[in-house]
Amino acid sequence: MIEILILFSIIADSTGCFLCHSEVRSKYKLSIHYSENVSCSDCHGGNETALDIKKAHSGNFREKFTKMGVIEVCSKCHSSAERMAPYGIPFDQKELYMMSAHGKLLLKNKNVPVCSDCHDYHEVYKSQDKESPVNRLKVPYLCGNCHKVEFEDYSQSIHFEDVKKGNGNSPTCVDCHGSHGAYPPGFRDIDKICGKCHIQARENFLKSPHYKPFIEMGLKECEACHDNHKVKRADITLWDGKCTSCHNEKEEAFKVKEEIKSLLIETENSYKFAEEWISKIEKIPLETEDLINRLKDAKKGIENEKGVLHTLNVERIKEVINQYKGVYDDVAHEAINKYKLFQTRYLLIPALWFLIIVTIFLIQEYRKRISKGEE
Amino acid sequence: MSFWEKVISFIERRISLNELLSFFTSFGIFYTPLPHNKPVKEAIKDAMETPSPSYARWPYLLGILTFILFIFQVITGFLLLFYYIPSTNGAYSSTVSIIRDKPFGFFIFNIHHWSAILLLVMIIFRLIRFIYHKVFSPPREIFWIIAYFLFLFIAFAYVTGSVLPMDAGAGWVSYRFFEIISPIPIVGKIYKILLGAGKINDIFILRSYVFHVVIIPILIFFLFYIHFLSVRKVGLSFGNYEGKSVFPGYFFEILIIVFITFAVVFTLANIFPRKIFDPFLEYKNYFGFNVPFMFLFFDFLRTNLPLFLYSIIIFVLLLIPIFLPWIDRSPPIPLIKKPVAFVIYMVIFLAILFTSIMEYIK
Repeated sequence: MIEILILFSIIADSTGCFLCHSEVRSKYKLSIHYSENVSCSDCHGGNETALDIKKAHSGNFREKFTKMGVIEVCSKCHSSAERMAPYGIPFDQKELYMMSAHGKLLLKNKNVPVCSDCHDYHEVYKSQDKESPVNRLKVPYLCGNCHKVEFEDYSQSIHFEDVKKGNGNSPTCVDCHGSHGAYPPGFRDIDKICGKCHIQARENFLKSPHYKPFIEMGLKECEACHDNHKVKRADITLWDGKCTSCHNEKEEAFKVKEEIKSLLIETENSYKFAEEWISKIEKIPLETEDLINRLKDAKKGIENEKGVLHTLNVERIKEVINQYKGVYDDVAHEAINKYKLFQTRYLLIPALWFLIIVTIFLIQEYRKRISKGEE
Repeated sequence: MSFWEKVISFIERRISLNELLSFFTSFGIFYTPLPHNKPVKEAIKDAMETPSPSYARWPYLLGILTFILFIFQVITGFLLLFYYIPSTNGAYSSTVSIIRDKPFGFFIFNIHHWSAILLLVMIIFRLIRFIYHKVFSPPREIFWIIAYFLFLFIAFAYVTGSVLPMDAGAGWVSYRFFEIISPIPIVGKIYKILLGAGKINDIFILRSYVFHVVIIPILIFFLFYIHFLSVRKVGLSFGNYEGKSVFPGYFFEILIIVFITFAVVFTLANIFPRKIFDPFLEYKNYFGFNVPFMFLFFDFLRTNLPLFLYSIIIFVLLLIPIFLPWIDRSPPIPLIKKPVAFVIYMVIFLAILFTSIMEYIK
């Protein structure tokens, strides 16, 4: 009887292991390995079609793995170009891992995460899968399991705000530190890492009067002003807090800062002014789609070119900012004009009354003439 | 014979033009029906020269204004039909696009809005004046009943119409109106069958639209027609027979009234356009809107009385006016000369006015 059951089980699952290990079965069935026909014996060894428990667990069978063992088992397939190439998955993960900070600590017998700690063991999902713990949007939580302080800082950042909104383009831990080859960035590397996305900001920073003094003073490039994990949106308040830690009010640099700051405030105010007018005429309602689009485009443009602020060259900054501020002012001006044009409708009222009074007068005259004719 | 005379005589030999014209002139243009045995040209001439009482005098002005405003509604409503889309997705955007993008859309929409308000005000004034002069004494009971039903239909048209733009105010009106009307016996049931159980969806908007643009206008037209037929038969309430001919007598007077009414409506529409709020969203609370003014009294009773009592009182109050010509047996003289009737009517009128104001302030 048992033999028949085992046979059924083997036919149904193509393995007899789940007859006893039913708790693994449900988890393993969700895994990408199950759908790609990776069997129990591929990792654990043994004989999965055997009808006897002893025989099934015989040979090279292994129940549990050491940390190093996990890496060896996974890399059996994942380091093979032949097996990984069809999936388009990189096959250098083991090498990367061994070079990483995690890998180096592992060799010193430290308790560090290996493959199964991040990817799980039986329940392995594709990394794009929403359920996967290594999904882009879940990475901060995964790393935060061990790196608690860093996660707390990161969770206050503008980057994490976007991740929470579901923006997959926002950087998580792995974008700066790497994933399998995770390594803390060196002292002079921060500008390169941030510059991967903030290209213009980096270029301008390298040309700026700040670059050399920063190196001499041992300041950490971007991090010195923007912080590392808890990087906030770079708004006007940044110009108050950070500058004064190095410069005092009598310096020329301080005047430059004040000039740039007032330019930014002016631009912000023109934007708000245009926005107010648009919402005012939208309620009437008047056509505002074009104005809104232009305002949005200009706002986007200013966001994209904000990197120019790193040059600290007032003339250059004015040149860039003013072209967008000009759009803001134009939009506000057009909105006001539209409103004024709409107000001219009041002129129609006296015009209409005048027309009607004249008509009534003419009608009365006509009536008089007719009644005179009748007489 | 000129070309046009030939055309007219060609048609006249084949269609009873007199009858056709007589139907149209029922709506207050000529006082008398056109004779059928004469050629149409002579018949019109005769009818125009027949001395007749002028509509364009106080207090008949209220009636003629009601009709003129209704015609404004028909014309502007007809223009709005070309762009309005009756669905949850299209209602708001099409309304906004009418006001914003279409030529004269702003004026047409707001003239439609203001004519509706003035129409209601006129019909209410007309009901008050009917009571004051006791116009519904025999043989003019029909005048009163028609005026009362006109009021009900126009009020209903006002509600179904204010739902159509589907902005926050419109959605709110539809909910509150449902609250007011659903407890009333028979009326509430009919409303639920016709317009659904207070949910705002495509069907509700479509049905409000059908009632607003087809069914109610037809009913109102029918009532007007019956009223004018009755006027032809029994005459105006107080004979104001000046012996004027229709043309050039009161034809021009009515023309002048039309012009002035248009100017007034246009002025109001221009200075106080209807506010368009944000699009209506279900499950969002809206504050700061008032019920349409004619339902403030209903709302006051609903919030201050038990629901059962409210439904009975409103039902009776809606029913009583239909039988008023047979209930009120006082002589047909102005109300001010009948102390008992004056006190009773004033108490009812002031009660409605006071509760409405109380509700409005709240």
